[in-house]
Amino acid sequence: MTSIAPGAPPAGAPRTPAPPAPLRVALVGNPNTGKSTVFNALTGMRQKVGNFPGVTVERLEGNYRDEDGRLVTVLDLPGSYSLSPHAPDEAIALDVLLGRAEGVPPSDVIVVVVDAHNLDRNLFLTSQLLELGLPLVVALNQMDAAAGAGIRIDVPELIHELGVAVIPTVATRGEGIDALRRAIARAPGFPRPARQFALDAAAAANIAPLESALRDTGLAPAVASLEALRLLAHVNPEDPHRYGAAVEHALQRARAELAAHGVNAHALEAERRYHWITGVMQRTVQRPPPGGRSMSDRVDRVLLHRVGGPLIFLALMAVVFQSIFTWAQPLMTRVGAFFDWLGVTVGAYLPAGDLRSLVQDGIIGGVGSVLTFLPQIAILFLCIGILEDSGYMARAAYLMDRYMRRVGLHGRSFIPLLSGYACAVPAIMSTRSIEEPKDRIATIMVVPLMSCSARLPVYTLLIAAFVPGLTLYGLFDLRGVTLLVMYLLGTVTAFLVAWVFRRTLLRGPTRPLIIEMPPYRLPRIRPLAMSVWQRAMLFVRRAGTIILSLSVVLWALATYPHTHSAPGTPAAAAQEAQLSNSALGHVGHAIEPAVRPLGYDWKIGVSIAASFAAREVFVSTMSTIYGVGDADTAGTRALRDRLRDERNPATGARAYTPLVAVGLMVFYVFAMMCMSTMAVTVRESGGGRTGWKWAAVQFGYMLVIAYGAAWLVYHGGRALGYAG
Amino acid sequence: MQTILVALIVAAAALYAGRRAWTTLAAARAKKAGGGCDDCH
Repeated sequence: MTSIAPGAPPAGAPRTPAPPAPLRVALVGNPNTGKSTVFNALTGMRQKVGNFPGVTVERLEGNYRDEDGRLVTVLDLPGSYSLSPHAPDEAIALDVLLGRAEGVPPSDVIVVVVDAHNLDRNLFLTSQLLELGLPLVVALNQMDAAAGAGIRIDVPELIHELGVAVIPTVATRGEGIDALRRAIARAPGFPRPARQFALDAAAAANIAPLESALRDTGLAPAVASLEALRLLAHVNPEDPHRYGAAVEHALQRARAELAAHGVNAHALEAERRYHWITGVMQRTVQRPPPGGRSMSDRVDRVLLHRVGGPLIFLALMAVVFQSIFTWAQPLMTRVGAFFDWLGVTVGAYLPAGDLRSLVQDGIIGGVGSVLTFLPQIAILFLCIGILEDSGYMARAAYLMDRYMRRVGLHGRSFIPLLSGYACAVPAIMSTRSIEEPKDRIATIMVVPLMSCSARLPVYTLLIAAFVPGLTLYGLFDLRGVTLLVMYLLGTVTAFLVAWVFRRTLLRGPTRPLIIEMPPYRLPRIRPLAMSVWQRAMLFVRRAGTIILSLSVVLWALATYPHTHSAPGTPAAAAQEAQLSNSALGHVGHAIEPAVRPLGYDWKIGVSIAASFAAREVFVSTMSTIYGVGDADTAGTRALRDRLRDERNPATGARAYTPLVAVGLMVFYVFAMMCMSTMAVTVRESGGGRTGWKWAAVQFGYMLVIAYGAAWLVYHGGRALGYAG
Repeated sequence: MQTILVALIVAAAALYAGRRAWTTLAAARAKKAGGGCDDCH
């Protein structure tokens, strides 16, 4: 008798072969090898971003199906020069590869991305990975750059030297990616890689007891040999404690015996590996005879010139901010017109009353006023992307390092500071690559002074409303120059504040920047487009979630309780009374004494307070306030026009002047005004009481500078005769 | 009817904004939590 399990195919039906078991791939490599491009080429858009458990290091995973229909999950590990971690993000890469990272399944295959243009340096990490005993595939990337520099690599010989598959790729053009996928699929069936060099007999004998002690802790023999060399190198003093007293004792004995034989235990690993690498390079790589300067060198002589370099940098920044205004304007007008049309059209279908006002003034007015700035955000990230991809950003880091060192900032602070132009939250998280706590805290303290993209809508609204579109020297628009000044103001102040911190609360030595200069190249369209698209979508998501919800709440606060004016009251006066007597009006009047010395009225005060949730909320709050309070029921007047025309009901004078607008922009340059940044500062500066203490210091000093600077602008301007 | 609809929309928005504020502050308290860029977006 036969039984058929539920769901099983009936007898005689063709059987569908079960898909092969899923495969997990760890993608590793030195920084600047094109690892992310390989990751994108392998996985396309099927990616998700998260965090490794227990640490705030970004975890990027993607997947694809190979030719056999097998699901392959690729984990993009943080860039690392070796398996000897110097910072938390490098440590997580090691833990994942050794299969000891909490919540991360062990990898079936390792793919190491190496830069064909700098093969010798990249082979150090590769030589360590060979010893993990896991299937390994080498993606020999940037073959085009190597060929361009006249470097010829004998790939079959390299395969022979390493004992693993080597796939030449140009990930930016997708070349070699199919072959890489095939190599990944076959890698589990290949012989396991192993150490490709031997220690001399005396050193091997001295280290053998240490390897044995490590094997006793459960490590595989190959991994124990790798760990023995790593522990002897003594990069991280905490490492030996992980394995217990027996290993610590064996380590001390091995060091003593090596010293007795005249071997420097710390340098043993590096010496042996580089000796092996030198041999591999001689047998596999042909370099062109040393000749004159390369094209990159000649360009660098100009762009990195002591005087000319910073001037060119400033000129480039001026062009960036100029383009934000001039290129974005036609698109902004169209986006604005779309939301105006949407407001009028939707309003026509709704009965007069609160619901129509909520949809027109609260939802469409609030969200639309922020989304109008989407073209500017996209252009900002397009410009940053072009500068990064062309290789110029690394030069900018070099130029800035001169100033950063003077104020005591660590060389590694440049990336967090640069990221701060996009958003302070990931920028503060990226300070985890800075190992020294005082260096990290100093960077965290000043990152929010870099003008993030959320400030851009505030700046551009006020600039468009109050700064005339004059042309300077027949070249630059005054509006673009004003925007550049706001960004520079934040950056220069960040350096000054860092200087103060490094000489008071956070004293310590300054470390230099070690940075690799990538060759100059034409920016690639696809990665640029992806980066701009992702940033634009984040902005849209923000507008559709937090800004939408706050716009609705602020509309309600501005609308209730209703005020019934006497019959015959002019519409403008009735609506001003409504606003003034609303819940929002009451809150605003309570705040007003604090902001009045800066020349602000209660509407600005309440908009500043609301923008603590997200800086763009300043714009949506102003839009909602003026939407609710506008006699123009169609609600089609641009917010900047409403701000320009606003009059003080008591005096009839203009409520907002260019001086108030400049003071307000300066306030936003310096003020913290971001709950998410504050939360991430608490967490990243130590959490608990320590974290809150640093967050309070950050919020406090920024508020003092913001208030003081806005006060100086307003009163200084009036004293100089500008209409206040 | 219109009043009820408006009240529901406003209540939902207030709840959402409150929840976002709460999760952001909770992420600050959780020293070892993942958090990430979702905190700000």
